[in-house]
Amino acid sequence: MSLNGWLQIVLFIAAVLLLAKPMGSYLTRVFEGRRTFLDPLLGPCERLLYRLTGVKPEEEMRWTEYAVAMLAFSAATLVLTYAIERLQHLLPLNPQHLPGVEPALALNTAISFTTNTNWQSYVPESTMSYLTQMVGLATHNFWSAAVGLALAVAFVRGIARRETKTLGNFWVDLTRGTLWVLLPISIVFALALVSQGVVQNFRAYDTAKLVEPQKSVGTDGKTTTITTQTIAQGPVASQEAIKMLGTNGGGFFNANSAHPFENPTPLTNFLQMLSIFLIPAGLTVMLGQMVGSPKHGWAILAAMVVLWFAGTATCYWAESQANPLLHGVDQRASLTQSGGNMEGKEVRFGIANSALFAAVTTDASCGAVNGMHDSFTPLGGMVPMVNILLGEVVFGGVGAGLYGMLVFVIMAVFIAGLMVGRTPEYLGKKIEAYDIQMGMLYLLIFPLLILGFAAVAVLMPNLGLGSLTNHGPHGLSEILYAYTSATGNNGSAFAGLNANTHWWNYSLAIAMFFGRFMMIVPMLAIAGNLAGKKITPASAGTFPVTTPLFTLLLTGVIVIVGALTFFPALSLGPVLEHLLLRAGHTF
Amino acid sequence: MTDALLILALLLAFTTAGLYVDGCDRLKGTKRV
Repeated sequence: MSLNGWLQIVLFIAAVLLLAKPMGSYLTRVFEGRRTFLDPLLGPCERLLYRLTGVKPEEEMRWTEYAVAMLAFSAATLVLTYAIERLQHLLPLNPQHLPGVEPALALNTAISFTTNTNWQSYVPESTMSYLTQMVGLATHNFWSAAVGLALAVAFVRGIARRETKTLGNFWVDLTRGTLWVLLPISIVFALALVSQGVVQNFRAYDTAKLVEPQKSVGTDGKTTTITTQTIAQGPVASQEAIKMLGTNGGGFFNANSAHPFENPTPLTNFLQMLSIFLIPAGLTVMLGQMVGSPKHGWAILAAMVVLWFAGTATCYWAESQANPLLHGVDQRASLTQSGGNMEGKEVRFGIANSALFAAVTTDASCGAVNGMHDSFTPLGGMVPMVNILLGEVVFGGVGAGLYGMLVFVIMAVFIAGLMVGRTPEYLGKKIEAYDIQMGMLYLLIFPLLILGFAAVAVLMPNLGLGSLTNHGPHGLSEILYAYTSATGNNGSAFAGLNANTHWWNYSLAIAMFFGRFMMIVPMLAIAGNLAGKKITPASAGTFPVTTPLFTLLLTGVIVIVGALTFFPALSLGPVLEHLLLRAGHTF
Repeated sequence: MTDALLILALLLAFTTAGLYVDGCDRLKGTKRV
């Protein structure tokens, strides 16, 4: 670890905290329908969209109507993406003449992008045409993030409103989130990326002649001399901006943000990380403003920062350690090398920015990577996995992070109520049996999917184990990470396993689908129930949700739920691998 | 044929999710003795 590395980490979180309030205030204005500087430009577009689609923006929806509208929208856009993938060989903007995507992979990818997961069981530059990337996938980067935003706003309205049955209008929230928040920032961000060297074109791939031909030995033992390299390109910058801002994470290229055309400079790396946390941090401020308790928003943001710091510091420390199995190699940090574990990392980012990126991308449900998590040390690789296992609430995905965190807040105030023997209240609303039932449903679906699917994959040699390239505890980590990433709608891969098989494509698709929609429904049910409640005036016995004690309790509840649920699995995976590495074994 | 089956499975999954919405809503009125 170095002072330089720590300074960059501090600079990053300082920038996030500085931007949280302006972003949050802007989100509040957008979703409360107040005037913004973009209204003259976007107001007519919004009204035109409503006229064309027949949406009546003044009509409010109950939580069930809101949920059904969200499901209908997701179903329609999912089928559209599936069709584009299957038919891409017949559609324009396919200069490489790529064939239609195979059905299982097309289904997996359509579900993946609809659920904001962006898990990729394929190599994008050799599988997806430009049209598929733009119309099939990048549009989902906007839509799935806008759906998350809308759901978070609906939850916040549920808390803020009193004695009403409605949470707003899904179509209005979806439209305003896309037009006022995601599109303008993405356009500015894409231009900034282009200025740094991210490509944006529709050309066919170039072929470059290698200065030094390379020899490659195939699996059949035959040696081939490689004399040329294909330079993939395309409309990258426009997809890259929303990929990060919308916490989507699906790369235009297989190497994702480790590819120099996606993430060419330290500045783009910094901006990419910043854009992942920008909206989730702003949403906590929006929560505080909309419920009339700004300090409550800051208390939640503080819990997120504490958990982010714990993960980042652990990962940075673990990756700065030398590999004990590399004898006679200088692995110390110096002016000429990063030191530590540089396998699978870009030298232009080094240890600090690779560890920080890994923590940020898995705290939020982004899933973009600038280093290969599979090559991290066992404890360093455990951090991204634990970040997702905590429920993607540490900043979390756009919208999804806030509503997930609010379910934990309800659990925290419930536990506080149990401790003092008093009916729990949250911002003046009594938390009752139904809220806890739905909260527990939300919390239990997550481990059920991850551990259930991982157990089946481990027990079925022909299905799960057959795709592994590493065995022992590292193989278990790869399987566990895949289902964790899918269910948590993160999308990053630990790699090391071939996921483009029928088993993995279908099982991960099911995990992504249920991990998204089966968790959203009970969350909206809580919101709908809260909206109908009366406000009880605070008394001396009310547990305050604006204090450091609340932040501590909330952090404790998140860690304990995650630790108790997943510790046995983690102890057989990364923890065991760490101990065996120290004893001289590698996998 | 595969495409038709997969799209049918998707629509079934979303219909199930719709029923799940209804189930969660009905649960609200349930009281245990």
